[in-house]
Amino acid sequence: MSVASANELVTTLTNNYGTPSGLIDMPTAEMAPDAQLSTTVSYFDGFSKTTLSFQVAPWLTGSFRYAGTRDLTPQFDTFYDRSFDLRFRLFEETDYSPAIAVGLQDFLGTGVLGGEYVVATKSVGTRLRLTAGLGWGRFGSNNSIGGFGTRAPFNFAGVGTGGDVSISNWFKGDIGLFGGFSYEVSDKLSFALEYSSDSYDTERRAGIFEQSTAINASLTYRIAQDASVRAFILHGEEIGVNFTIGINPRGMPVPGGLEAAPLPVAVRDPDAARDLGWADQPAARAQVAKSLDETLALDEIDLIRLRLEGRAAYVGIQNETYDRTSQALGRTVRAMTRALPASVEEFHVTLYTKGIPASTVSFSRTDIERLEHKASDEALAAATFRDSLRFGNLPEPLPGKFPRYGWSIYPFTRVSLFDPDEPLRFDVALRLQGQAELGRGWMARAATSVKLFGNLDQSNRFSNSRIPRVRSDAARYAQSDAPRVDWLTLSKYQRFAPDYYGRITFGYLEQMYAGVSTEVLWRPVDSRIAIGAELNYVRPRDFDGDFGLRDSNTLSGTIPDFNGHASVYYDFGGGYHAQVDAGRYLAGDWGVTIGFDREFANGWKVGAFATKTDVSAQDFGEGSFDKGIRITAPISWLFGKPTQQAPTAVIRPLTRDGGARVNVTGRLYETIRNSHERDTVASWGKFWR
Amino acid sequence: MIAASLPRLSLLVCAMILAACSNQRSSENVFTVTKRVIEQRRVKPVAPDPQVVQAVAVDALNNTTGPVLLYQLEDRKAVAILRPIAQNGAYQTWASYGSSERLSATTLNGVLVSTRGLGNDLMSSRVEPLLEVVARREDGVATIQQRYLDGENQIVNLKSDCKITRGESETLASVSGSVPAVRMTAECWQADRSVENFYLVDANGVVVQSRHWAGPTMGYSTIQRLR
Repeated sequence: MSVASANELVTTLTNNYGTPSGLIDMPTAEMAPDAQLSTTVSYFDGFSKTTLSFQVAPWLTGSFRYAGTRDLTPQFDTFYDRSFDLRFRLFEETDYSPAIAVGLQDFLGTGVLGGEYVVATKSVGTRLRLTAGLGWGRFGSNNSIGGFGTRAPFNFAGVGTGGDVSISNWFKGDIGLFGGFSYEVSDKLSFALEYSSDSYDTERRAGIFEQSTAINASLTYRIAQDASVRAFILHGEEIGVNFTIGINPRGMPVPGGLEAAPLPVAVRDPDAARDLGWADQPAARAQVAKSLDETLALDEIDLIRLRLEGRAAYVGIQNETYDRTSQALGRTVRAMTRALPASVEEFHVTLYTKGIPASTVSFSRTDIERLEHKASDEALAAATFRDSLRFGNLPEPLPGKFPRYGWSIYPFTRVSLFDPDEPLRFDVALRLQGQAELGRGWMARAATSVKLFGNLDQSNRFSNSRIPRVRSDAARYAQSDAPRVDWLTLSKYQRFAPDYYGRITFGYLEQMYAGVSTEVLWRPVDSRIAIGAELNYVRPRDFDGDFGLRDSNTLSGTIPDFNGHASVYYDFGGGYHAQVDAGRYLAGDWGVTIGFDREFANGWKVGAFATKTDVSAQDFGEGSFDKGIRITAPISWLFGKPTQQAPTAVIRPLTRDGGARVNVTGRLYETIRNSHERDTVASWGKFWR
Repeated sequence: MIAASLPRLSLLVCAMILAACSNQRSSENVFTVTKRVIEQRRVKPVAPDPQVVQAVAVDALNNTTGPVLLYQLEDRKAVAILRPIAQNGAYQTWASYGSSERLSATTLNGVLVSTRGLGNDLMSSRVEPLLEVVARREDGVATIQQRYLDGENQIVNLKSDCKITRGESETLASVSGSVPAVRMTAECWQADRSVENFYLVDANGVVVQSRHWAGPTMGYSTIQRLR
């Protein structure tokens, strides 16, 4: 599953800060294999750190960390702190020169772990790696070789709201020299020795750390390809352990997936193509329609519209089975070769999603017959993507296809992270969910849930917000054990004109808000860019989750009725995607959200976002501004079986009231993009699957 | 808290039994996911009973009239009796006889060019240059291509340079009597691996039996024509 190339200096090991490194406390210039997503838990007496690291690009690592230190300050039993890091590789290793990286640790937090470094690592043979570096901040507190400028020292009074990016301190103050080496004894076992330039000043002042030497040592055992456990001795005084487990979205347990074989193409008898006799006979046409419907049903693809002409077939499908649209398309055209009379040469497949046409893909049947056993890029060259409205010839709805109902009962969890009193709280609940698709873009959705057990109701951390309490009352929503209405909405999706899409959603939109959400989106079928606008009218819901609404006035201000955004989406190619939203947020604050994601053709997405609004850092409170990371993990990746389920986890270090938005399900961009050309082509390899 | 939540715990047990309770396709949740991951870990390939395979083969030969193949994937210990389900030019697609599982394999002159439904499938191959030499029953060289999907659904095109050597004449027993054939061996080199295939070819240039490397995770695939 490893995707590292042999000549790059990569490692799946991480140091105590959870960043890719073969050393113990010190950084190296090693990077993780591209796209590696790792979780590291490290612990020594009273100090714990849990870090999520992602290799954003082969030369860039991003990390998010949650650290707890016992008795660090008299204010707290355990001082919990969230921090973000970035590491850049400036130069790759060559035969004669080392790899060089620069890193910013805890650059977006309180700064208690803050430090910068420039580090060089060189491999000698295949087993030994030597590292030397210069550190500032935390990494400049020992073995100083000089320095320039002054750095504001860390102190708890200065923590304030945290979340400031204190650029003025970067690479300022004392410079510490550090170094070390790691050696692989075998594939399973390695050891490391380092000279640390971190003197743990803050911790020693608090009397919770001692040091008798600056030398640290470790022994690491690799349990599996992407999992390892390490024991280490820190400064001659502390013994600790570190556990790392990783996953790489680029590798897949069963590459390409594992699904039922498709039906093969049925090749026409060359003489039969002239026979148009069927086209004038209603009974024969009805028989063809039935046969196509049944053949597609074998592959769990819904035929919802159809028009048959003597030489052309216009087919409307709705795919709720395959996560890769190319696969649904490939199976549809193969079913068409099996079901349609030989005279039909043009295949036009319109992809419907939420009842609206998103794109039309056309093939000649001869090409499908000719290319079945060739490389899939030949079939791509033979395909034409068009906006369905621009294409025009939309097929007529088949009778009896709508309304369609779906329901499910499933257990799920609600999680609360990073409360200093209890960093992890959760409820396990049971949900009954249903939806009705009424046709022509009308959708009704409803869900109710009941808590089974959990401790979310034990939070007594109630809001101290200075701005309207749009999100910070979360704990009050968790108090009631009674069944609640999770959502109850009626939506209408609409095409206005070529490239334009619309949505209106009305009802109980989410846990905290009810109202009306409207949206328009412009996105040509082959476009990298999309532009959208959303306007919402909302009222806060009752804390107990019933049908009631509460007053918009909160202790610290009134929740405005209207909020909304203009959005720009941009697909850079190569799997990098950005989104910028600007507008008015829930609390009436105005600002901008920037989101950046790495998206994999198999459905994985890993990204980060940050919102800055006109709410001051003081008024925002702890964290200064809203930010977080988000990870989407497709279920199909795990089993190989096609399914469109792909849960997303959003992790925010803090949830406050500034920069908050209403959660509306089924926003247009994510609804239509899978049926558009760029996303379909990104995993075109699945066309013949 | 524990006592108070007993009725709710029993609800959870119901939920776990109901875990996939839905009228929707491919509905997964945290419990069904966990269960399936555990099941996946447990699956180990087991060689089928040769007597069962033979019984299926006899059944296929007695109850059908068309061609019948014996197909083996050595590394996965998979054996199947195949019958033809579709023809596209010279490409013949086969499915397993006596099984409702949706698995298929496609051959070109008796040599595997693609599979479906087996996992890590061979997507398509370009083996014509090799087959030309093999069918002539002469020594020669040929470059072939075999295509797979990687973890990001991208096509990986594996190229092999093959050296083909004519070997001994053999007699192959088959349903329709004994068939004289020549053993053709192909040594194929890729960037980081070499494999050795063989093909038994009759006087008409038809491959009646082959052992052909099908991919990094599939290993060798053996196809024998029973009829």
